[in-house]
Amino acid sequence: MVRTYSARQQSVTPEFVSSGIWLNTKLLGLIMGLGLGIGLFVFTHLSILVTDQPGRYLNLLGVFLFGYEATPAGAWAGLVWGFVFGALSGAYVYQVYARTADVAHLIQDDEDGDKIVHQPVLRLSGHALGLALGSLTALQLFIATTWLVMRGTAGESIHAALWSHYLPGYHVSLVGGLLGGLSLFVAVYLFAHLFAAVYNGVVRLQGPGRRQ
Amino acid sequence: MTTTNGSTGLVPALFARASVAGMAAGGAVVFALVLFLATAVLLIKGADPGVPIGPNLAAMSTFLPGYDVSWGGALVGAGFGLLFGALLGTAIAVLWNLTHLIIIGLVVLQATWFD
Repeated sequence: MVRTYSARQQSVTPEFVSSGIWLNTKLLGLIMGLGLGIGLFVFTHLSILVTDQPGRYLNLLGVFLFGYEATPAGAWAGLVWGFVFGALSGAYVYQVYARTADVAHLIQDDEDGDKIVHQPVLRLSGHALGLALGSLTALQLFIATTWLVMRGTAGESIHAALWSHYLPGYHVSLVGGLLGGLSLFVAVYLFAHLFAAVYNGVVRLQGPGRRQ
Repeated sequence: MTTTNGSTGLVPALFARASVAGMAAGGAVVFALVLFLATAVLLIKGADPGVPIGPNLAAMSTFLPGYDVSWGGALVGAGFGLLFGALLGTAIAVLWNLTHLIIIGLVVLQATWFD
């Protein structure tokens, strides 16, 4: 017998909600991990194919990702590192997002009685997305800068220093990493707000009952 | 069994589907703006006479045909940003929806067959 499952009509335990949040955390981690890992793998091979000096910029990643270089063998290390960083980043973003956003009210209900499973359309919280992505990127910039300082190559890191064009206060030092992290947080927070506004606008235009 | 008051809307929200068009549009707008601004900032800051502006950013022309650090190049970069942002947004939304659909499908099958 086919039934209509509407989770709204069911009792919800905190354990169930927690399980749902962790399930989404793992799913976003998996998606981001596969995306970044495969992306870095493909991009490395693409660079080898189309550029004269594939390692000119990509080899700089080897400072942070041990074993990585712009070679076919290094691309495999990139696949593994990309998956690890992507998975951790995706999991972090979802955890911060779900704990900050009022996710229960961030749906657009366009219930279709013919469907076996009622699955509404997701809406986004710009504030929560900004906090999640902003804090992630700020933390990553600070850790990367700290690593350059710790290994004693801060003075030689001319490419990292280029971030000062975009991030006020940034330079390759611990204080510069903190100031650059704050600048990056603000920039990413604003872009996340813009992303959420555009996304929610399109969802509103599609409206209840309309197909994607 | 304890019930969380006011959290009944949370479960549909946790398993809600992402709008593919919305993610594509959001990604396109943000990526286009980032690429445009990255170029514009360097152009506004400028460089000393005889020194090229943004030689490192200009290296993107290897992958983005027609791109350079100029106002015209900023528009070309914005165009590529629209394309890549839309593709990335679409990919994330499709993967998000697909993984959820698989999990919900498994739960419904289990409930239908074993309930």
